[in-house]
Parts: sequence; structure tokens; C-alpha cells
Amino acid sequence: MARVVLRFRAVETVADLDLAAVTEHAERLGRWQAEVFDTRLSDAPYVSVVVTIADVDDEAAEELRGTFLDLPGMTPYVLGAIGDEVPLERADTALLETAGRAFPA
Amino acid sequence: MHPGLTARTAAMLQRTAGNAAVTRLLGSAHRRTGGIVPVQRCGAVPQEECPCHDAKPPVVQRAIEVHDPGTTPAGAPAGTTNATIVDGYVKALCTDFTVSGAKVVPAAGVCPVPGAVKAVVSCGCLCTMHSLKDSTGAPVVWKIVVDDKDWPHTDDTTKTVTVHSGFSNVEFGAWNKGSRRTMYQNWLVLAHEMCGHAALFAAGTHPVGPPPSHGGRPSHDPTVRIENQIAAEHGISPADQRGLFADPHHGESFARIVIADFPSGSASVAALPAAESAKLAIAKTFMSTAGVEVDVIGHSDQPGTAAGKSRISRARAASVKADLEGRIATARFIAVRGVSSAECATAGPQPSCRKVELFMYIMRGASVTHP
Repeated sequence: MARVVLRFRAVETVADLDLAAVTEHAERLGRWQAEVFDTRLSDAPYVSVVVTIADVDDEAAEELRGTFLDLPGMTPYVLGAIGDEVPLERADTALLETAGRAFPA
Repeated sequence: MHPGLTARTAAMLQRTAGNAAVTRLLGSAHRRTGGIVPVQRCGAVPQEECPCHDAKPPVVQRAIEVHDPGTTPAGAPAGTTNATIVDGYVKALCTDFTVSGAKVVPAAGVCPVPGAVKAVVSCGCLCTMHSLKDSTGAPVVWKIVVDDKDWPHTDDTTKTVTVHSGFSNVEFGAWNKGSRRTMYQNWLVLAHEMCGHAALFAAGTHPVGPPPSHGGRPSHDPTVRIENQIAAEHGISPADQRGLFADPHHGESFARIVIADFPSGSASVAALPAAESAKLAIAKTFMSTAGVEVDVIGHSDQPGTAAGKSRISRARAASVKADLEGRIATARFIAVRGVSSAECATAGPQPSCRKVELFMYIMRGASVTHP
């Protein structure tokens, strides 16, 4: 079980962040719990999704990439540690394991 | 332990006569403890009958930490670290708190009851955050992150509060109730994030909506009210306190970078001193990370004709915009204006007035163009 924090930053400006689109995509992760946070409300220039993944493996990384990489105007990152945002397109088992240890519930 | 000496008596003796007296009385065994009054063992005596029972040392809750405390931010003088920077912010917020190592800790007796909120909002907030526990009783740790590339913010998903170092060349402020911009000191930015956002998350009362609209956030008002209470405690006048959603510009915040020392009559960024020119690169990095929109405001000093000053101030703004567009194609420039010498209070040639201000924001309400 791993709690993975994803951040969605705007390609251009914060005005392009689309919370509804992020939420709609997060709901596609039917087999995992995914919570969407409008972190803009606490001044963050991004929105966040916390995904609780039962079994971390390459298949999980592929599912995350497939779910979130096509959001227009936004770039998703996996938070590997404080200050370490890794583009989701580079997500693999090792990164998700690291991310899961970084911010346990 | 000396058979006739309780821990209470030993402590009193220690206070009044010093460790040496205790050590002399207790003998060599105590010397090995380094002069600290040892815990008297009660053995089979019931705890309630023993004034110095085998109590565990008090658990000190340290629930605010500085991330990466030993690092020196770029541009900071030697010896300045994230820990020393946050120490300054915390002491400005509440003189009874300090940073020790990576921990933000109160002076003895400041937070006598874990979780107690003192009447003073500034210290009460830190006491609350210092004493957080989860449902199992384990401390909940919030971290203060010093990051000069990102927008100051609070993130409940990672329990982090992010602020700038003071050496980033980026200043922060917000629109006040009177439709003027007020510049902040960084301790107030920390107060806004830690007491206005993190503390509400900790209490489970932070608003979760609605999403930003009309360039602002109605849900930001509870945070701003806390910030204004803290500002009032520090003597900041009501006129300079932050506006609410119903006020002009929704009380939204902005970042400012000032690029000054244009030569007289010049709008060329190539003619800027190196230190000022370097701020353009800083602006580019900050814009890229934080995804801000930008107002570019050009200025002149007082000498010259009205038409000439207006023209050169507009030219300076346009010149900086052009330079940033070349560096970062994605920047959005909402306003590019010249204000002549309207904000230059001193007569005569003033290099500091020959400048361009970049006002950057994440909520469009902070733009000078916002109705």
C-alpha cells in the first residue's frame, strides 16, 4: 500500500489549471482510492491528487501515466520528496515506492 | 540518590546552591551523570506515596520542523541557513519561539498545555501547531520549506508550508482594504501560511471550496481574517491590512521583482547593471515554476517633461516584457504600462526611480487591470 502525491502544474499559468478535468480523470482510477485537493485555496500554484495504490509495480505506474498524461494545459508530477517533483511520464516502480515512503498517511 | 534527598529537594538545592552542592552531597555516583539531578527510584513504594516516582521524562512535542535546516539559500551570506532564516521569521511572529536544530520550539512555559491556544493569536497559533497529535497520539509534524523558486503556499497533502528566504529578490504583498498594494515582510508570509492555512487544516476547518472565481477566492477570507489579527497584534494599521474577497482586488497577493538603475533616458535592459540584469533571470525562473501572470509597470524619475517621462516609463516596461518573452515564451503579460514619475517622491536624478516593477500573481484579481 502506497500513498502517492501527484501535483498538476500549469504548462503556462495557474489560470489554466482545470480542477474538474483532474477530478474526472481521477475518478477513472476505479480500483484505487484517489482524493483530489484544490491546493490553490491554500495559495499553491497547483492542484493535487493523492492516490492510494494497493500494489506498486510497473503496471500501476503505467495506469497512472495513462490516466493523467493527456490533461491539456497541465503537467503532472510525482512528488518523490519535498522539493523533488518528477514528471509523471518518468514514473516507474522505484519512483512510486520512493513516493509512497515520502508522505505516508 | 542520597537516601534523605528527594528529587524535589535536590532540584531546589540545585537551583539555590548550584550543581556542585548537589554533587558534593550525592557523591561520585552523581558526578557520572553530568550534574543532572537523577531520578530517585521508589522501588516497592507505591507511586502515590512516593514524591519522586519513576516517572518517564516529559515528552516534548516538536511538531514544526525546518526542512533542510543546514542549507544556505542562493544569495544568502555565509552562515545563513534555512534554520537561521526561519528562526528570524518565527521570532518576529512570536518572540517566545525559536528554532533549535531543525525544530521550532517554545520557551519553557509558553505552551503549558498541549494544544492550548493562547489569547495572543500569533503565539497561540504556534502553540497549537507545536502540539498537534493524530488520533493515535503521535505528533503531527508540519515542515517549513524555504524555496525561492516557488510561490509561498501551504500543502496539507504533504504537511508543508513553503516560504522564501529573503534573499530571492522576490518580495511579497497583497492588496489592502483601501485598494492599495501593501508589501509584506517574510515573517508575515509565514504567519499567513502557518496560522492562516496550516492551522485551519490541522483543526479540520480549512475551506475546501468553492474553486477560485472572478480572479479570487471567497474561501480565502477565514485565512485573511487570521492574518489581519496577527497583523494587528504587531501594530500594522487597519488601513494596511489585507482586503477580503469583497474588497478591491479580492485582497489577493502578488510577488514583486524590482529592476532598477536604468541609465537616465534609457530603456535598454542591456544597459542595466549586472545585479539588476540578473533579476530578469530570477523572474524567468520564478515565472516558470509558479505559473504566474504578470503586470509590468515602468517608472521614471522626476527630471524631464511630462511627455518624455511618460514615454520612457512605457518604453522601460516594454523593454523588460520583450526581454522576458525572449526568455520564457509562456509568460502571460496582463498589463504593460508606464506611470511616469508618479511614484518617485524625490526630486532630481534618482536611479532607484528609473525602474520596472514586475507584479506577478496566481489569481487574476491581483492584476492592476482587475475591476
